Amino acid sequence: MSSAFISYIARRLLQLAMVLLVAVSVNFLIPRLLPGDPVATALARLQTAGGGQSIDIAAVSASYMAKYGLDQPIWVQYLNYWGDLFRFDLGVSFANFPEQVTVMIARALPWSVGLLSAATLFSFFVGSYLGARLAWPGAGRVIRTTVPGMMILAAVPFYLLAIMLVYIFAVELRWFPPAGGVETTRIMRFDLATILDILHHAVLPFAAIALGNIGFWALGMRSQTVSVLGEDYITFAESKGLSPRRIFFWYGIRNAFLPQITALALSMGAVVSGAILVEVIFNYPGLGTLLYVAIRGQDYYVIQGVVLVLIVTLAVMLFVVDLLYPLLDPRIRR
Amino acid sequence: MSKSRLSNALLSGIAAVALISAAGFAQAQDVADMPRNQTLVLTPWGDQPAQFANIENWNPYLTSITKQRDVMQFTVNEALFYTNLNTGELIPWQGESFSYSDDFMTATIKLRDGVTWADGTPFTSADVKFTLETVRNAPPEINGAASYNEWIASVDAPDPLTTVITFTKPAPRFVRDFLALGHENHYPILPQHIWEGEDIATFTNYDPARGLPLGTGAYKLVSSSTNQQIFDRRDDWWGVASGFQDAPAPARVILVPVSSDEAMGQLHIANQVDGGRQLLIGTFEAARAQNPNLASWNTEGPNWGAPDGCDYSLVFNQLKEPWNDVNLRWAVNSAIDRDQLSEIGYEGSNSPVGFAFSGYMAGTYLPEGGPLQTVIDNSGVMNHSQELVDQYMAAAGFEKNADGLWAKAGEVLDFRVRVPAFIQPIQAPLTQQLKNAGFDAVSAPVDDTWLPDITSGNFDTMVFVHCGSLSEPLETLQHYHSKFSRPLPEAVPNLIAASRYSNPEYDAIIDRMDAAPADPDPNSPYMQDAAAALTIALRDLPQIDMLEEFHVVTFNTSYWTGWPSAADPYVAPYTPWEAFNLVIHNLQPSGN
Repeated sequence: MSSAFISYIARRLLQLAMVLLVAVSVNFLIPRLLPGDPVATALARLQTAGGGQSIDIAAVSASYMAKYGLDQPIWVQYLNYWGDLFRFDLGVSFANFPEQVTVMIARALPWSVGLLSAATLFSFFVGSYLGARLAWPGAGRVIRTTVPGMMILAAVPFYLLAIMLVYIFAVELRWFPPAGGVETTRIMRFDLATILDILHHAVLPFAAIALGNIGFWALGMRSQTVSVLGEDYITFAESKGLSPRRIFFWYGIRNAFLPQITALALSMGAVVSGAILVEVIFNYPGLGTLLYVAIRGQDYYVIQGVVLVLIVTLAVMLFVVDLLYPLLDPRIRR
Repeated sequence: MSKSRLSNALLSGIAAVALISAAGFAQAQDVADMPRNQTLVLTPWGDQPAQFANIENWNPYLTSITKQRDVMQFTVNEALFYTNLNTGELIPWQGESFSYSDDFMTATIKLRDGVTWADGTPFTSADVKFTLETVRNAPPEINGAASYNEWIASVDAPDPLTTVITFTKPAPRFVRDFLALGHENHYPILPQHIWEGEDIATFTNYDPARGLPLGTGAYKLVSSSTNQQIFDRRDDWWGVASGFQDAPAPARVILVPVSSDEAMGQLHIANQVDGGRQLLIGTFEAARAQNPNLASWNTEGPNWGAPDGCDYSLVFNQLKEPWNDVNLRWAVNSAIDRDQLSEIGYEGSNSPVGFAFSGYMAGTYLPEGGPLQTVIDNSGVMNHSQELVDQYMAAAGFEKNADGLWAKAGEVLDFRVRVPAFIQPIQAPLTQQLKNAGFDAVSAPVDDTWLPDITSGNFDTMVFVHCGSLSEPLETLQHYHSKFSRPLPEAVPNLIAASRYSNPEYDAIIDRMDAAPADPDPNSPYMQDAAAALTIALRDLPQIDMLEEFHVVTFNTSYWTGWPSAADPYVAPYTPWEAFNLVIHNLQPSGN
């Protein structure tokens, strides 16, 4: 490994650390800058909802504030916050006291990661392939008619697509369940029936996210592919007599792919935030629904925890892309 | 890899990850399957993050854990008595009867013989004594601790079936409010042999190996996961063994989370739930068009729903100028067309009201021509006209400026119409009505600042829910007692009583009512006091009650019938209310 490459990695690591430092600090400060006492607010909300009729809000709030160090000076809280982070302790949910935020996120995360990563990667690869095929000479009629349709769908927000899919496939045709991660009466076991049930419930939210993304990737890839079509190495490959399939994949897609990968990393944040309403519409038990309900309930620590997970995920993904870049394009190492 | 193979692989990935998630938390591996037509599927009231929290904490007294109002009250736990709020009828359950001493300083509770906990231990007065004393001595985060500490002096258990509660002051309503459960009063009796020696603030009450959570109810918890809470019927329930009641028909009760109104509507359409969270009227009607087996309290709209004891009210901060001027408040009231608010804001589904007495009192304390209804009718509170607005505003010293806006000494009166998100439909029509009457009204942003502001008094006016009388007039009338008022910016102790109204004459009437039992006889001193207090409240108008809240409680009759309704009002239809246990015992299979 060359010293230039090591220096490159060190610079990127430093950038990652700076991003995380700033993000964590902002994430710590914002809820504390909001007016009002978050504990009293959560308790008042419970009282309004009828869930806790006979409580002395001021007394309970004082008790909880002391218990969780929220009555300490802000700099003490900040130091404690960093200490807690290194122990993976994101605090407790005020709305669901004494549940740990880490536990809530850990339970929701696999559902979102499973759904979003599958849907995003599926739409990324399929969209990129379709976009490349559309730009490549000799695209068939199917490609020429399908891809523009996908591009139109890309302009439709995920949640609108979700509503349309629910109406058509769950309400009218009743092919797929309208909501939830599994049947309400399903006993969760490690068996085929449970797996099929989970897949069955994932189809519509998966489709809402994938359909909304394929056109986006196709559009980007089409532009990149058009730009490589006139490159000398394509002409050279053709003159060498290589098969069109090999030229398409190894000379066309490979070279047009680099900006797509950058966009993929950048889009993860948008995909996750955009999918919040999809999860809510489908009552899907993921991070999006958790965040949505936490925001509505002013459950600060949960909001803070979920946002932190999103920020860290995005920062780490960008870092990984930075590491991948020099492998894909050696010029970047220099 | 072909597209279909890629797709299959990705979907399998989703399933695998989801299963890994579920594996860590579900305890359902040993639970047998149950046919859908023997299973009752409910959701909690209100929105949930599509996953349950605190799945291993079943403490019914922790304020922030809502399991007692979500599901425990009709599965694991039972109550001493239930109340049918529609009629006021008291329905003995674990208890058999109760009586007060003449001075209301003691209450004697007689328990039903033969009641047992799920592990076979007899349910006795020692359990009642233990629970009341434990809650009384508990820290503030325990539901009921403050009230029990205020009211209970001591508890005795002279024999296994008798409990005597001695109060700190006359308490003619204690049994109704804390032991004869109908509404949002979640105070189950705890098994002493399980809870003794435990800290009520930290005990999780969850240990499947020991049969926890343990109650006297007809169901036991068999699985608690983030996606489901599953309860199976107990064949050894005391009610059957003692000949008290047949076992409830559903062999299994499952509680599932739901995150939104739309999701609940979809689940109803797909017959995946039988009841629970309410629907908005539009969602209900759309879902019913797809699934005609859906029903609500009434058989016809637009007023489908049942009263929940609350109304939508415009609260004036009595400690802020110029809103402490009664003429200004009456001017605002005269600008409000309640029928129009209902039509535009709620598609006609919520009824106009002049005072926050719920529909549950209609048959007892609020008959047409009765003293309270007469006071409301004579007050003119339901009248609206520009002429009245002009008169009251002139009396308050306001006149219209060149722009047609009410102003005093050249300064236009600002009127920010603030509402919480859950009452947002009322905001636009109310703002427009106020504008039409000459007020410089604007709709304030709908955010969450209302909560800290209504608590600390940082508001001029605020639209809020006014939850009051379910059983007797005092429940609403007491909200204007000065015991709930605080100087600014001190927090009020009760959000529902946020107007900070203070009137010694009024306090004296409420204090008299508080020390006496409720009596609907029109000639009783209680009703005379109620009428006098109502007269003052409507004269001074600390807040304007506008529309009674009717939630479209929705039940699915595809698998189960026997739900409560206006035609069969054996209990109020709200799942989070304690008396919903009576619904579980009344359900019958539909035959599907």
